[in-house]
Amino acid sequence: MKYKVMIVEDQTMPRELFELRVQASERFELALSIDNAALADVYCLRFPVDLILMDVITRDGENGLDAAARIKRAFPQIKIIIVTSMPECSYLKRAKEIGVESFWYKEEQRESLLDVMERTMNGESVYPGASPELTLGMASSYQFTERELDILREITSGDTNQEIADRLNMSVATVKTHILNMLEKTGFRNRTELAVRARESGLVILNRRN
Amino acid sequence: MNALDAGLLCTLLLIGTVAALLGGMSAVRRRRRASFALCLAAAVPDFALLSVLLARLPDCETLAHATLWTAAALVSTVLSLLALCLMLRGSRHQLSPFSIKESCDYLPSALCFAWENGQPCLKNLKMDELSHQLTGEALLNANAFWRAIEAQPIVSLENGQTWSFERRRMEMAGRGVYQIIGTNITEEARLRHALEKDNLRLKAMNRRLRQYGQDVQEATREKEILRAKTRIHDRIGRALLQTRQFLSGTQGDAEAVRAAWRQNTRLLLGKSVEEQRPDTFEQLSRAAKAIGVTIARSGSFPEEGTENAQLVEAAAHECLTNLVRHAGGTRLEIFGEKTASAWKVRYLNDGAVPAAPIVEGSGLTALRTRTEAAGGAMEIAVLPRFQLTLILQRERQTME
Repeated sequence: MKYKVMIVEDQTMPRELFELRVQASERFELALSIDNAALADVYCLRFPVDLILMDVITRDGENGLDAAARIKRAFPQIKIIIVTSMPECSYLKRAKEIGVESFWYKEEQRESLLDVMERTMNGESVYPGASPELTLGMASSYQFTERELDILREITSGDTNQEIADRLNMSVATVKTHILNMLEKTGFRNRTELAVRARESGLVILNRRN
Repeated sequence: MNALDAGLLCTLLLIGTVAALLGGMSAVRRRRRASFALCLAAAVPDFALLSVLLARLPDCETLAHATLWTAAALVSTVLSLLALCLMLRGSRHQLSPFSIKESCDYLPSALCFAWENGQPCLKNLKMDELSHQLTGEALLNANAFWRAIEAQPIVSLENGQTWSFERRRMEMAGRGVYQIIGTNITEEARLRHALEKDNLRLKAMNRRLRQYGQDVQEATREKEILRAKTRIHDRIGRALLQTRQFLSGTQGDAEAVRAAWRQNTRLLLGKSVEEQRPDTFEQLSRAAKAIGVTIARSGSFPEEGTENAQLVEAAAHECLTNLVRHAGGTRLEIFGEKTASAWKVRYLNDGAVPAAPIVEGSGLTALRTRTEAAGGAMEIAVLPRFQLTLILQRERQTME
């Protein structure tokens, strides 16, 4: 029996490459292929699906992780693999919290997608050890604390320290201290440079839509 | 007593008298009665002796007891000088109205105290100078001056200075007094102006940063597409090689070549139909149709992309999933209405009427929370059939 796979990917070419991989497999068959993560749970109402390949960010800012959370609540039996090319460090943690079975980096991971799909359907949870290591100025992405990354993510929004402090429930002085620490680690001259480089690297991605 | 002695004694007594009188004037200026009495007491003997001596001056040889006269004149004069010294010494440690006025004049700020009718009781030179510049005359009536600047108490002068005025009412000896203080805030105004410019620059930079973030995200997606294109290019290359090998009879079979070209043709066709994305509601309608539900929408709805539109779409999504999962229906009707201040959107379906009151699950609860956070309201009715109503404030949308 072949496992039925739903692909959620907004870009046509990557989506069709996924479709080809699935169709070329002997263990999987394509049940459905859609481009909007927000509607994935609607399709799950009628289409029998065993496994979903879910892109993290689909067009219009829809967040595949939020969609995965909805699907896991309504259809806990459906297994989900998050696929992304974004090295955003919080995605791994969030995916685990939601209960997503596996996680696959499109470009970085050595293991093939079909292997990950196979192992996932065999009951394994396949996660990379960590998000891809990036370099930010003089610092490795692994040198930042979780809180620093939270603040770094907010800085890319262009908000002031006061707004960031309000959103993260901390004092402005704490925000400043974290920013100074990051500037010291990276060697960047100011917060704007820090924000621009962080955003370019993909280390942090701000998604306020949801 | 000869004429020379008499003249010298007169001079001495005159000095004593003048000293005592000066001391007395100083006491009066400082309103010290005891000191005034002391000075007066010192002046009286001097004056009395001087009067007697002057009255007898033409025939001063007749005056006896020259030594006694001399001693009396000396004592009296010394006492007067002593009283004057004491007054002068005391005045260094005590404030007088004059010293207050003098010190006020040296203040860098402009200062004026005035009675309630506007008559100034104390003002300094700076206040008069500013009054001249602002009203064209010295400050004669504090109320008139305040009326002139009340609307804009921070004023910029022609010399480039900026002054800030404030008035406060206070009580003094049971009477109401207005205090008007003018402060030179030229430097503060310059810094504030510079800060405002910096803030504007910062806001523009933050806007660009936000836009840059979106651009980077788009660039990342483009990179991903480029990588996919590269892979497709490789696939076509492989298919060409495979075809050539097959045609030359080296290796391969027709079925493999056909399969390779079928895949590549599909990829190429897929690439060429990079579709125009429909709006969110249309996407939802298509998804609903795919699972056997028709969504009918009529009336007016918030503009696509606004927060209200997102709430309307989220509610449609929630109603659709609930219709299929719990009510087994096939039709969802959405009626939108625009009133003067709100959007009213009703969702009705043809599914089975709930047998029991609806217990809101996580989806409806999240929708209610979002709606209320946006200043709206959500109502659910069960009879005669399930109906969910959203009432959303239009003002909020306008503000955005």
